[in-house]
Amino acid sequence: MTDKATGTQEEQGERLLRQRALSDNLRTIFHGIAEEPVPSTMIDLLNELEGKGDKR
Amino acid sequence: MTAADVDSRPASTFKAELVQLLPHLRAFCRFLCQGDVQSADDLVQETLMRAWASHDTYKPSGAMRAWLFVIARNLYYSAKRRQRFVGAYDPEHAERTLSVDSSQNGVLELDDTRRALAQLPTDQRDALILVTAGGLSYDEAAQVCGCATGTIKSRVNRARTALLSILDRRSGLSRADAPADRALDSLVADAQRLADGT
Repeated sequence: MTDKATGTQEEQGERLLRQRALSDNLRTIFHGIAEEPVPSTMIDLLNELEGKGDKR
Repeated sequence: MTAADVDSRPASTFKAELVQLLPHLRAFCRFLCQGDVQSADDLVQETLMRAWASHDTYKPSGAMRAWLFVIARNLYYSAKRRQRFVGAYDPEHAERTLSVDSSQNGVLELDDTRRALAQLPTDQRDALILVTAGGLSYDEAAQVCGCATGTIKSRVNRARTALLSILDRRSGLSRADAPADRALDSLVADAQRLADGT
């Protein structure tokens, strides 16, 4: 195996690692938002919609 | 599930499922609105109202999350034409969200990732977020984006490559700027010393 080939493998490996790190970052951001408390206005809205549906 | 099952689906069950999915819906809307918290939450509320209005016709295929994301995405892009829900990068919110990672380097990387995301073409960004961060399958993401599964795979691939390239450029710029700044500081200090005669 030539140095060049090894280098390519290393590059591929590094690229894979960076892609994984990137995915981890995106998941962290997404779940960071998802872990925020849901505003009560959203639950109130659903309750209101459910109430209207019951009346109908 | 048959049509009769759907018709008999109680509103309370439907509501409970919506409540359960709210955190993920909020996160997806936040990405769509590029960090604009208010616009994203307005989009969530409109999505909930639209979903509720479609309650009777909703045909669950086991993927309510994808169904909600379709509604949110359609609302976002139709409203975008009228300049609603159009978010801008929100550094204040980014700082709050980024507190999930306590290491300073981690915070900077997440912030860089968030900024870099804003530079991606929207179709690539949506595909990447849905699959990588949102955990949707390629098929579900294709359903949300209204395209073929192969197209989603290709968009995710291109998005990853583009994002890494943007991050590389950013880090390259930072590295290049640092010595130049130090050299300039040194020159200014030398000039000051000469002027002071020390």
